[in-house]
Formats: sequence, C-alpha cells, structure tokens
Amino acid sequence: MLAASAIALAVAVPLLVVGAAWRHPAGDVWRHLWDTQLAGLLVNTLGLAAAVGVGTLVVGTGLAWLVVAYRFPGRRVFEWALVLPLAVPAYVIGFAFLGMFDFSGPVQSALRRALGDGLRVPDLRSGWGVALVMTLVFYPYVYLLARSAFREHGLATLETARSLGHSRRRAFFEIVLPMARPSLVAGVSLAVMEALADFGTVSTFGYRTLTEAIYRVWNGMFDRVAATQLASLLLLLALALLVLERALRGRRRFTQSQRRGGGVEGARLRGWRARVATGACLAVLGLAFVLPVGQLLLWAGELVGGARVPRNLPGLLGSTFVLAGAAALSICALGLILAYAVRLHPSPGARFVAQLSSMGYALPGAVIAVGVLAPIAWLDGVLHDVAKLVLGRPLDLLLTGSAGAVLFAYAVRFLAVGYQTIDAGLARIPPSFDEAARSLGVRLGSTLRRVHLPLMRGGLLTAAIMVWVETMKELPATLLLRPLGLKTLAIEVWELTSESRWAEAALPAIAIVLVGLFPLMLTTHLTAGPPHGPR
Amino acid sequence: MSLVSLTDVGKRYRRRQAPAVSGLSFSVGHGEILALLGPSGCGKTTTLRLIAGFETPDEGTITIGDRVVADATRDVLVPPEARGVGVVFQDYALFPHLTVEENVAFGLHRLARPARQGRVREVLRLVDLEALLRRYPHELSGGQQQRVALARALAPSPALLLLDEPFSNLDADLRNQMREEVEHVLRSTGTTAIFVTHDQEEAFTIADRVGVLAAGRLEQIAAPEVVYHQPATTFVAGFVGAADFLPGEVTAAGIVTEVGVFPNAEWPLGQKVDVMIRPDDVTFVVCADGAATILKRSFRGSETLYGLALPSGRLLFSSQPSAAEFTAGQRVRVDVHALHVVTFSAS
Repeated sequence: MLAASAIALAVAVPLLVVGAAWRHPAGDVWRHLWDTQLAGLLVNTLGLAAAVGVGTLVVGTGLAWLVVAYRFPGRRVFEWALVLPLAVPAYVIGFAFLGMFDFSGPVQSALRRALGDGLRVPDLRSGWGVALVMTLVFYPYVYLLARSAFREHGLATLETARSLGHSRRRAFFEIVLPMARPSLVAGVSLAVMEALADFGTVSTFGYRTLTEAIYRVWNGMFDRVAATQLASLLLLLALALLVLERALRGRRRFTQSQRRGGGVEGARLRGWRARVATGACLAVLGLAFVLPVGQLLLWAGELVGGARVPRNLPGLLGSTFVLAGAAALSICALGLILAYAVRLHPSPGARFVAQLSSMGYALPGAVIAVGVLAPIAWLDGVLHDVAKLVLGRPLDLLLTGSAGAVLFAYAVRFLAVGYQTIDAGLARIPPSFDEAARSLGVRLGSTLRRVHLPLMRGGLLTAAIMVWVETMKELPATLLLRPLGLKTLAIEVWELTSESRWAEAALPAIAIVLVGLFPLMLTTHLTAGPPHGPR
Repeated sequence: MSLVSLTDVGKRYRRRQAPAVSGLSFSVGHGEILALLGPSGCGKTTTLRLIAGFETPDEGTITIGDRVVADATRDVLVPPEARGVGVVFQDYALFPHLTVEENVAFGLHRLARPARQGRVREVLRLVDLEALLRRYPHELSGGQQQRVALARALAPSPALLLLDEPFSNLDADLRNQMREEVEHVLRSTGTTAIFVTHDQEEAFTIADRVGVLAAGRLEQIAAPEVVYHQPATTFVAGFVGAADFLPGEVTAAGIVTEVGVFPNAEWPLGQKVDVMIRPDDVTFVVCADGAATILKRSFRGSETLYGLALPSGRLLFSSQPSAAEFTAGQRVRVDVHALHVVTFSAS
C-alpha cells in the first residue's frame, strides 16, 4: 500500500507542477504571447477540438450503425477493417496526405495533366485539413464504442420500438441513439482528447495550437516558465473535457439488457442503398488507411528500389524498441504493484490512489513533459548537493536529459494503460482464490507468484504490448525530454516530415504502422473467443 | 477441552452500521461438527471468516488449540496462513491453472516431494478421486470439484475445517449424496469442523450441535433435537421448522389457550404467554359442531398441510399423512399433543 501511494504521488507530481505554474510572474515571452498569439492559439485549439468532435461523432456513429443494423456487400470485412486507422498515428497519416496532395505530389500532378496548369486546389495546410485528417484517424474510438453499444442493445431495442409502431428512422434517433449516449460521449471525448494532445500533425501542417506553441516556446525561446504556463492552459482544457464528459454522460445508468442483439440479424440492403453503404465504408477506409499506407509503401518501394534505404534505420529500430521495452517493463511492474495493492486493501483510499495515478492518460504529452522536467531538475539538484557532501565533488546533471526522464514521462502518461489492463485481469480472479491459498498456509508473496501471476499471464502480456506500442508512437514528450542524440522512429518521422522529406520518412513510418497493428490483432483475437474460464 | 473458542467476538464492517456479529461466544470440542445456521445476512459467514483469519474482530478473542489467534484488546492477530485452518469455499475456489493433483498439493509446500505425493494420493483416496489426478478443475463435475476442494483443504491435516455453504452449488440429488460423503470423511478422519448453512435439514443431519444466528447474535447453540423441540427464542422456533404461536394465560389449572390447557412449569399465575405449536403436534377430527374450520389444504407429498381457522380467527397449521383426505370448509375439532410445551412470555 505504501509503495502504491508512492507511485501515485510520483506520477501526480508533474500534474501539480503544471497546475502551480502561476506562482511565477508572467515573463516577457508570456506577455508577448498574450499580446500577439494567445487568442489565436486558443481559438485554433478549441476550433480543432470541436471540429474533430463533430466529425468523429458523425463518421464513427454512422459507420457503426451501418455495420450493426444492416447487411450489405463487404460488411463482414468492414466490421473489423474500419478499426485499422487506429493503428496509424495521426502524424503519419497527416504527412502521407501532405505528400499526396503536395504540388508535386501524385494528386495535383494528375489533375494538372488532366485539366491544365491553372488549377487551384484548396490547401490542406489549414485548420480544415488538420480536422479532416484527425477525424479520419480518431473516428475508430467512436466507432468501436458505438458498435459495442449498438450490438449490446441496438437491434433488440429497435425491434421493440418498431413493434410499438415507430419507424426505423424514428426508433434510431429517439431510442437507440439516446441509449447509446454514454458510449458515444466516451468515444468522442477520447477522440477530442487525442486531438488536444496531438503535436505531430499540427506541427507538420503548420497549424498553430497550444501543444505546438509549448514546443516552440520551450525549444525556440528557452522560456520554461512560459511553456509551463501554456501547458497549464492545455491542462485546463483537458480537465474541462473530463468534467464535460462526466456531465454529458448523465446520471443515467443503462443496465445491459438480458436480451442480446447477437441473434438478431441486420436488415439486408439492396440495389443503390447497398452500393451507397459499401461506398461509404470504402471511402472512409480508403482515405483513412488504404491510400495513406499505400502512399507510404510506394515511397518505401522507391527508396528500396533505388538502394537508398537510410543507413540509420537498424539503429533507429533498436533504440526505439529498447526504450519502449524498458517503458513497458517498468510500467507493467508499477501497474502490477498498484493493482495488487488495491486488491489487498480495497478501501476508498486505495481506489483514489489508483485513480490519481491514472490521471496522466488524459493529459497531453507536452503537458507531461513540461511537468516532469521540474521535479527531475530538483532531484538533480539534490543529488548534486549530496554528491558534493559525500564524494567531495559535484556531479553533472544525472537525470535531466536522460532516458530516465523520458521513462518517467512515459510512466505518467501510460501507467493508466498498464494498470487498467492488469487490474481487469486481476479482477477476473475471485477473491476466494486468495483466501484458499492463504488458508492452505501460503503467504502473500507466494500467492502472487503461484496463483495470480500464472492466472493473469495473458493480461500482463497484453498490458506490456499495449504500453510498448503506445510509447513507441509517442512524440511530444519524447521530443521535449530526450537525451541529446537519442532518436526514435517517431522523432525521425517528425524531423524528416518537417523538412518535407516525405519519401525518406516512409520507412520508419511503416515500422510504426506495423507495430501499431499488433495490439489491434491482439484485441480482436482476445475478444474473439473466451479463454478457458475458471469453471 | 475445546479446540476452538470464541469469547465476546464482535465485528462491524462500517461505522454507523449495525455490527455483522456481536457478543459471540461459543466453543467447539475435538472431533465435533458444528453447524452455524441462520438466514442470509445473519453473520454466519462473517463468523467463519473471523475464525479463518480473513477478517479482523473489533472485539473479543478467538482461540484455536491453545493459541490465541485474535485478540482485539491486545492486538494479537495470527494471519490466516499460520492458523492451520482448512477452508472449503462455497465456489470451491479450485485453481483453474492447476490439475487435481497440483491443487491438492498446493498447501503441502513444506513437505518433501515423496511425502507430498504420498499425502496427495492418501487424501484423494479418501474422497475417491484417485483416478482423476491429472484432470483440470473445469473437466470435473460439480460433485467432483466439491470433493477436490475437500481433499485440498484436508491435505495439510488442519486442526479445524471450515465449510462455507458447501452444498449450495449442487442440485438436490447430488446434495444429499455429498452430505453423506462429506460427513463420512469428516467422521472417519476425526476432523473438527464448523460449517455454515441456511438449510436447517442440512444442519440437523450432519451436525452434532447447531448454532442458530440472527442479526449477528447467537440465539441458541445446542443439539439438533434440543434446537427443534426446545427452541430458546421465537426466532429459533420459527426458523428451524414451521411453528404457530397461540396466546395463553397461566391459571391454576395450567396454561389456558383456545385449543386446550397445557401444563405450566415456570410461569406465575396470571402471566400472559405464547405457546409454540408445531404442525406435527396438531391433529383434528371432522365434527359437525367443531369450533374450527379447514381453511386451506396444501399437498406436500408425504404429508398434507392443513390451515385451520380457529374461533378467534387465528390460523393454526396441522400436518397429516397424505393417506387421509379432508376438504376445505369442513368443520373440525382440534387436538394438540405437544411432547415439549414451549412457551414464551407474551410481549
């Protein structure tokens, strides 16, 4: 329990640091920002969040209803394939789009050939462009949650409503949709959260938002106070979103109907309706996954064909895998300690501690990076003094700019992923197992080793893979905190794309996509069939 | 010399809430089987968990053998793994990742391998499961799982065995069979056992003594026959079998009620009392000028239960062999022959 509290506290520190940003008087940089950019930044950030929220709601809900309630050609494939964009980080799809629609890119070239030179294509490097890309990447959050809500009670409810004389359309809007509201709200807020946290896409598109400003102020102007203050604004937005989500979910609790929709088949669509349904799924999947990934493969093919494979690729893969692996191991260990502490002492206090340490997942990586640096620097100061006292000579900065700082930030951001997966695995083990073991004369530690760990092996592995993949895709915190010279796949992609070197960025980007497909396969595999249960 | 004893044990899960158990005192002798009987929420499972060490008492002491395992005043608390108490759980709690053999060997980690294997075989022979050594729990039937759970709990030779609603997961046929088997195993190994149940029949058939709990308090602890025929409280009277209570007044002739006069042993003259009458004590004969009327009849198989309306409007139940048949509406004369007259002061 003590260990769990220590973990939670350490993880909550960055949050407090950012929250306390206003103790410092605003500096020159801040005043300059305030005068010139802040209003614009806020409008851009909020506008983007709103556009992505509406976009993902419409696309995700629409597609989910389509695949659950209707039958049309390709539905079975679309049902799982529509989740695929989740495997690709937004900044990867973003730069693939930019490359495709560039002046010299395939789309504009083809249009010019067909229609002549005077053609004007709307610029993708705009708020609408960013919102479009993010909608395409983040709609699966809404899609997944809406789909399971619809599956749970959608069709059965629809039948009930229609037996009471409602039309299909009326039943959907007045009954099915309101019943799915908690799921829809949860999905949309995940999508908006991601949009707020995104750094890679907005910076490649040159669209100015808070995350991008934090990076500029930090790395360009070296004003950490102003960066922290910007981060606190972003933190405020993220917290407001959390509050909004709770409020919108409402006090209503929807009990799961005993009558599963599983047995009920959707209505078969025919003729032009079927073609529209297939076309809509195809269009979204094509834009969000097939085209950008295809473009990446083309670029990669050019590189490989021309024997221009970047020489640093193996090293890049190695350092990324090792860093993410270290994060996965340490975060799963922390998550296990937390989850086990809550199991042993299921008090409200322990639950609170667990909640506290899961907060980081709602925070943008840029905010966490800013919040991590101050305590790390303080710790360095302490070590410095201790070393002077003990060794008689001062030490160099040990932690600042070390992989340790990056790992700390990862722990803050992704502990929730590890903890929740492990906790879910642990929760499936009945408490009577613990008691049985102890009544047989086995101590706590041995019980963990002999009963819990073997039973939750699958859950632990899943947690490790999820964290591994998430950290591998992470960009802003890594970028802000990394030691000099440390490069990950994500950073390489970002650096190359910020110089419009699209083709060169393709190989590391493909590596990220391949890795990202991993957890998707894992979750579909895990949800496909029940593992052999306790009884 | 008793093996387990509880003295004034109390446990409260949440402040400002009624205690789960309070003022609990009883002891169990070597080789004795005690049943804790009561409705759900009466504190019987809490009592078991306190003895096993899964819960900490707020008051009182618990002694197992000659060792105090929990003393609320002196902060003594022996952890469950050091109490030498075996537990059979309601859901059996068999470890799904271990075979029958490994499950039974789980608590034998202090034995060397050959000794362990020998002991595993020995207890599996006891419950007649030697053939299923290599099976996994999910490959066993409910009754087999129950026997593995029993074997696992018995393997380390615990001084005391606790069983929490051990038969509630079995269907009726199997339940009777398992009751006999479990009792046989406990008796043949001389194991001291406490088991929790809400089924009075189960308690009566297996236990040497039955403790009846209500709202966290021990109402009575005695041999099954005593609990049934001489219940200490109206709650016990009603819980361990059907009972009606008729008001009566103590006179020089005895306790006068509307169905007759009962002998009085303890009450002063003029005292108002309730007389407990069980359906098997009540007989009746059809009689045109009888004071009572048959109100309803419910067929129970081996017996038929008749509800009789007395002149006062009170209902009295009578159980009759199925062979005799009466119909509702018939007037009858009621006769009560109670072996033990049980009376409670009327409140």
